[in-house]
Amino acid sequence: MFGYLVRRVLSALVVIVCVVFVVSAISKLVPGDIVDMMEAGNPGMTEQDKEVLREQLGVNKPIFETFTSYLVGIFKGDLGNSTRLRSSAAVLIGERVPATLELALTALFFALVIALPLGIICALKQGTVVDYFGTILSVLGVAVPGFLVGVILILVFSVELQWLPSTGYKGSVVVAAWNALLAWDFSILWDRLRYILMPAASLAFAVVAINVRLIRSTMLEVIRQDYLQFARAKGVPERTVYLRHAFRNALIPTVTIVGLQLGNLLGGTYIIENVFAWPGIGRLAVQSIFWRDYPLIQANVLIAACLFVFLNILVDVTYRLIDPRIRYARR
Amino acid sequence: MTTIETTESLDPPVSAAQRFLSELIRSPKGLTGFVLIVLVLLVALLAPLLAPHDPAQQVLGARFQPPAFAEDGEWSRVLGGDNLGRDIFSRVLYGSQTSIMVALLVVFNAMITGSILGAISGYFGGIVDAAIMRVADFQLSFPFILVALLLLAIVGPGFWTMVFALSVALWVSFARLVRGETLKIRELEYIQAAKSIGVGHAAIIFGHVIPNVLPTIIVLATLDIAAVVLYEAAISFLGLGTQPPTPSWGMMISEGRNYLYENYWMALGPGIAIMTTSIAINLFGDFLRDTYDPRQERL
Amino acid sequence: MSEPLLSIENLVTRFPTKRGRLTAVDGVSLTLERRETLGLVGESGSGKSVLGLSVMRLVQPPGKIESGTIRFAGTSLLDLGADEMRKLRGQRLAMIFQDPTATLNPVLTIGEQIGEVLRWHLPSIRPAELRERVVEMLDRVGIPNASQRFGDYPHEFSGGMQQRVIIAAALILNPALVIADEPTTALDVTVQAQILDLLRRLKDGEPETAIILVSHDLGVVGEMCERIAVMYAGNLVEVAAADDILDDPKHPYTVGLIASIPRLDREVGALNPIPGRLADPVSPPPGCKFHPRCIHAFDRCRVERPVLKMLSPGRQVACHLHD
Repeated sequence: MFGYLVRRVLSALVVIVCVVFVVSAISKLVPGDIVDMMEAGNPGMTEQDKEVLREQLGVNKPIFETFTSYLVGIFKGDLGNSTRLRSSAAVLIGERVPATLELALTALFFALVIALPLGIICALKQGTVVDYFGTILSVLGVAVPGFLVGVILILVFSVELQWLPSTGYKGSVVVAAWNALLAWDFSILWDRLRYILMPAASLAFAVVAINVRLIRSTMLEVIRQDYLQFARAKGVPERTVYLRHAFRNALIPTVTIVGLQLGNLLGGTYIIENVFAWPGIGRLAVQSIFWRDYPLIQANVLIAACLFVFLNILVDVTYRLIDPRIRYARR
Repeated sequence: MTTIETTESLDPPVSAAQRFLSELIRSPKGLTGFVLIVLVLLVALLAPLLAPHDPAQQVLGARFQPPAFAEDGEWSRVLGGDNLGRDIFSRVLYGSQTSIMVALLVVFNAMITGSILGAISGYFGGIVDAAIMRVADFQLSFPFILVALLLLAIVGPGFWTMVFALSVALWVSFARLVRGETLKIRELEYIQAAKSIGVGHAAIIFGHVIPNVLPTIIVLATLDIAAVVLYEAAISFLGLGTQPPTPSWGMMISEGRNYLYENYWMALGPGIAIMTTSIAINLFGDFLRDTYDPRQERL
Repeated sequence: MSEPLLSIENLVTRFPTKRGRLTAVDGVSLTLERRETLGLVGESGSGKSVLGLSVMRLVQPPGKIESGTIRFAGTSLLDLGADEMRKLRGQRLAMIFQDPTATLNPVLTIGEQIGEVLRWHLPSIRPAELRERVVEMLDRVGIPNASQRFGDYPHEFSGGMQQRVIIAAALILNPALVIADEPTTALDVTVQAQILDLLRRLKDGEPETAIILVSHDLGVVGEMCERIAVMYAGNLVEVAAADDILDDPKHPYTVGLIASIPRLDREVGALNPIPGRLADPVSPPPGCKFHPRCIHAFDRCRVERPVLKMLSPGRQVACHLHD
């Protein structure tokens, strides 16, 4: 296991380095003069600003030099400065990562809480009304894009019913939850929770739909397995047959499935954050593209790449830990 | 142990078209999908005839005009007017052209590029294969949206950049598919035989590999078309794709989001259009997969 | 004469399918004495496996036992409640399954899986004692280093070893009846011999155990069993002592089965299959189900279903030829 981890981390580093290379070479990739393009998104740039930028982006330097200086910068914690917002890109992004992570994790929580039981029920009650409902949900989940779900939710809950705010952010939900438990006062928590509900639900929608389907198939397959009959033949009661044998075995592919969704979930934040003006890295990324704020774009891409790579490793390792067939493969 | 003789009946051969039609009629989801797709295609083709108004024409008096079935509405503007007084219904109709065109362009690109690269990769193996697959794997470690955003960031937002970005994001699945098939076929005896009598590489690829993998490619392409319709909408929603005044459903939803209080049909109209189109293509794609490639049961 | 251990009367088990109701067991009557080893032979689809499952009451819905009786050690099994039946399984009645790799749960250790039998039937057993008994059983079935292997997972064993684990689970509480459903079919030929050997050894060492050995392989059954019952399309067609069946088969199907076995000791021109196809369990042919494939078929066979009748003491045949 340790060997595997080391190998994965190393190959991940290689990927990151490639990304750094592409990102640092951005000035070469952009057609035309990159600084002129930036001016279009940032009116009021002086000649001096432009010179600084040319220096920063390595316009007149060979690729290798820009690459190395960018790399060095990373080690020093310097990812460049945002032209538009005139502050450190690393800081700007760092401020927003928690909001995005919270959104993604809340969405994951919603997705699991709904998809797991629903998927299992659909499998156990195959062919009934519930199953049919689950199928429809799956089709909708694939066909209805997240941003549309978001807009519809806003329409229903903000415009018509006026129960929830359509934009805004009042701080970390996790922190508020922790404080609420300590002080046993849930008012602040609810105040903050109101803002995350719709974004998380929109993000979760597609994921729920796919997961219901996949959990259902997994469970169906497991139900057919011979080892369930074996358990029955040994005198194990039916309920235990399902809980200890069927469910546990279904858990393994389910974790994989869910793990694979995490990437989609994180990717979805790039869109959903823009529907709800959620102050996370997704929103910043899109804004930076509009502003042609290349230093900020570079930093965004790099951080995003690191997040995804890290996520992949996490999921991989978890999967290997819970499946004894893999864990003990070399005993 | 006993051996039992069996006699099996042989079905009379049916043409591909006949088989397709008979399967289609028997599948409710396939039929629904197919009919809806035809509907959407017709709308896209006939938009100039079907649309009551010019989609770009701004009429001050019609700003936020309610839809026909509400009070103050008119039947000439079925879904009402948007924030600039343009007829929502006409814009929705014209929007279909954008979606269809982008989807077809992108999938066509990705299919051709991906298949060729996949075939080359599988057929020649070695360094070429390794190189192509490395790039593919690298690209796959990131979700599609990130790749698209990066490309859009570099070249700047716009319609053609979006097409390019989406094509780049999509080629990998075709490449892998064709590569896999090529690898399988490459080792078959009759291919070795063909090679030994001097049949050229291209002939083998086009004559043997492609026909075998064609059904799977078509299923993949169909499902990808559905995906691209949604991706185009998402990117245009963000403002990074189709630019005004070209109507795009995604962009319309984005604008509509800001005016939900005034006339929510600005967002709902294109929303329903996207849903219908996407569901239709998904249903039809599902049907295709069930009929032509049942071993790929993914959903 | 004491009551037989197992007595099945007119058992009918059916499955609803898209094509219609499939009758897997079509009125089977059979008895089994204590300590007896009975071979149940038939091709795939004959209903032999379903018969075994029916006795264990493990037929999964939508299939169900529709009529008939099963008496085991004086109790009518079909009248028992689900929990009462459950208590019998693993303790007085046990089953050995066909494909050991599929039968063992891949995410639980073999110690846990064998221990499960003990935990459910002896709820107050202490962990140490449980482990001791499981290890002892593993030893008896021939698993080397039993004590170390207690915590191993199924995939760490070969097919033959896995089957031994399953046999261990089946026999650990000394059941009176063991139904072995094709225990060697999924294994290599050399391993087959070992497993059969093991079964024979265990049976000889276990005074009370009766075995029903289900198989499509007459060779396997001939080696191990005292009596053989031949099944075709859900019915018993011949039941007799093993030697009698193999040397002097009466039912044309049995004759055909034996004749079709390839022989190593004689020169054979061609293999002799039984012509035709297995009777369709959803809509079988009228009269005798075997008649379309039978060279001796005459008018009565096409119309009237033959019933299992005693030909001589210890011999039963269901055939109009011998009526």
